[in-house]
Amino acid sequence: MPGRATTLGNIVRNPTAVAGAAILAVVILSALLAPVLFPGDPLDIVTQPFLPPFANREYILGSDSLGRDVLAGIVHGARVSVLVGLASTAIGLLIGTAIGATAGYVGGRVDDALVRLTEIFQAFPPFLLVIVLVSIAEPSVATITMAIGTVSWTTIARIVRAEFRSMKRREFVVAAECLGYGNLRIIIHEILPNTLPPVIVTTSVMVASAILTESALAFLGLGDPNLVSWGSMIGSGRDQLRTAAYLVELPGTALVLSVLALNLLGDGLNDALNPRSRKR
Amino acid sequence: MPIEDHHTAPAGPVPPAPPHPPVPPLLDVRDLAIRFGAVEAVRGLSFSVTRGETLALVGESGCGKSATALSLLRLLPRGGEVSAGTIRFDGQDVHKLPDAALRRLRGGDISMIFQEPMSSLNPVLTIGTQIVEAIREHERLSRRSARRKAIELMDLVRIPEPHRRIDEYQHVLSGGMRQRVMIAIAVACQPRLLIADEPTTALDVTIQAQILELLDGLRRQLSMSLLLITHDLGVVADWADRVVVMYAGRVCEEARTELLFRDPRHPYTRGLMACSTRLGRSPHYRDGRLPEIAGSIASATGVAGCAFAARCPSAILTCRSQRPDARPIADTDHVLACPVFERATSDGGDVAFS
Repeated sequence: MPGRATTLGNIVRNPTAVAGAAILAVVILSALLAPVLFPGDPLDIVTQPFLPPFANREYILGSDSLGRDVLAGIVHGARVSVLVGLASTAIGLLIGTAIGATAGYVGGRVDDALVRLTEIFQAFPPFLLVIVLVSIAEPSVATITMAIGTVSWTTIARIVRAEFRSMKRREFVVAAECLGYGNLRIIIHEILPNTLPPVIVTTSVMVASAILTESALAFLGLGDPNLVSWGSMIGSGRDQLRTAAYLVELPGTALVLSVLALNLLGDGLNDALNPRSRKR
Repeated sequence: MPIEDHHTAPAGPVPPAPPHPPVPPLLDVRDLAIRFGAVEAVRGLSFSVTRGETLALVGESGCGKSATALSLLRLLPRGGEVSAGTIRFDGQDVHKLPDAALRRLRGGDISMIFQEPMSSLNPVLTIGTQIVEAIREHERLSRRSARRKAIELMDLVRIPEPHRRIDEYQHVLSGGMRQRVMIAIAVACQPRLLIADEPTTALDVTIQAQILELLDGLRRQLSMSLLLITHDLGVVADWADRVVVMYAGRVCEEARTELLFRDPRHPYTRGLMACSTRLGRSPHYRDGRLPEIAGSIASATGVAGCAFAARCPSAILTCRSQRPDARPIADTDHVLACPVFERATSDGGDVAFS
């Protein structure tokens, strides 16, 4: 049986991965369908303030201190979270893979230099660096995405470098060199696919931490002021924590579930893709 | 271990093509030296491979066979370098080739297969993809015609049901099948020289003979030369036209196969033959102890005389001080690096060879 089908089967048979994927599907679907489900700006004041959840048919999750629809905010907030999570991870993945692959494949001084660079980035607390980057630039989804991407590549770089180092002298790579394949082709076509399992697993955790970082920024008021985000909802709801706790609890739950889903998926993928744990 | 008797396989050693002195050899290695840091793995190694012949490079583990093979394609691992000598393929110096020409040489003119078919194939690509890639690297073919050619190649190396096998991954294939796939990839672009670095060491004995027969058949069919690197004298006796025996990175003896087995001169060659279980000697423990070469291979670095002197039963005083050069015995093509046995004819005493 071809290997791909077995891997897919392992994921499907894994309840953890399936649960994670299901929650994630709901989050992504609401992000995609937000303009259809809740047309108009979720920051518009639509009703009276402090409408409690499940009290009104039209605004199921109630309204906030200004009378904005909480459910619309959560659904639209998923857009920002998903967008920033995926895009910043893509950037981190690109930078990390390029640096890790070069360092691991070329070795020598290039490797030394790139490892030092990675260590310099790791020496900064990542969140602080994101705050600095975002405050230098205008806070917008694009700059936040770039900032998170710029601080999150180090883990990927280290993993990819380690994989490349161990693969470089493997016989199939020497055999590829023997056939006259160029370096770029060996890196991209021969070695990179072999490094994917740990990278995929790390990626799911990276998306989760990017979502958390974005929320934290928005909570501190450093998010995009024109877009609703789970973090900004929690931030603006915290003044009413005693009187209207749901304003913090509801977007908080959305955040917790998304991050949990990504971690579950990561664990599930790890089990499915890691041959050592597969045997259990 | 079962008695290994594959040398009863049908095809015997092939007589070499009649020599044409004006034609330069396909591969000509002169005074090759390879260093790994301070350690000299190979020194003063010279041999040549003529068109269409099978040359065997024989020696025990660590004597520099594989390093030599890798240096032919400039594939020595980091830290290893060719410190002296020349490698000429078809007249051009391999170590002076620009990168583009080197890549055309690799896979196009010289191909190589390795000892370990288990790890020589990329685990995440189907074998079809890997054969197709190899074909398209050196030939302008569409994906479809390359795939058709891949199936033909798989048929050529006698993989059953190539249509079905082509989309499988290497882990579902047996060791012998994987080595066949490796061979298919290696001969995809019709190289003129195929280097086989211990091609059968990792395979079981019944498969060994099949793979060697396949290599020999392909050599004739595709008119390649074959450089067979092995430690197995049984393999040498059956498949090689000429043999170079190496010890500690140097040539001890070189001769046509038939001559080497009839009249081995170097004490190391004789020792190897004496302790081979395959060459007509009964390996049963009741028939007495199998002879062995006393001692173990040591680094030849810093040794003044013959590297084998310490283990040599016939060593004389000068062996430890003067390094013997490999030179032809009385203008024949039998090359020997041992002054003690240069004149002596084989006494046959310690070699039982039918």
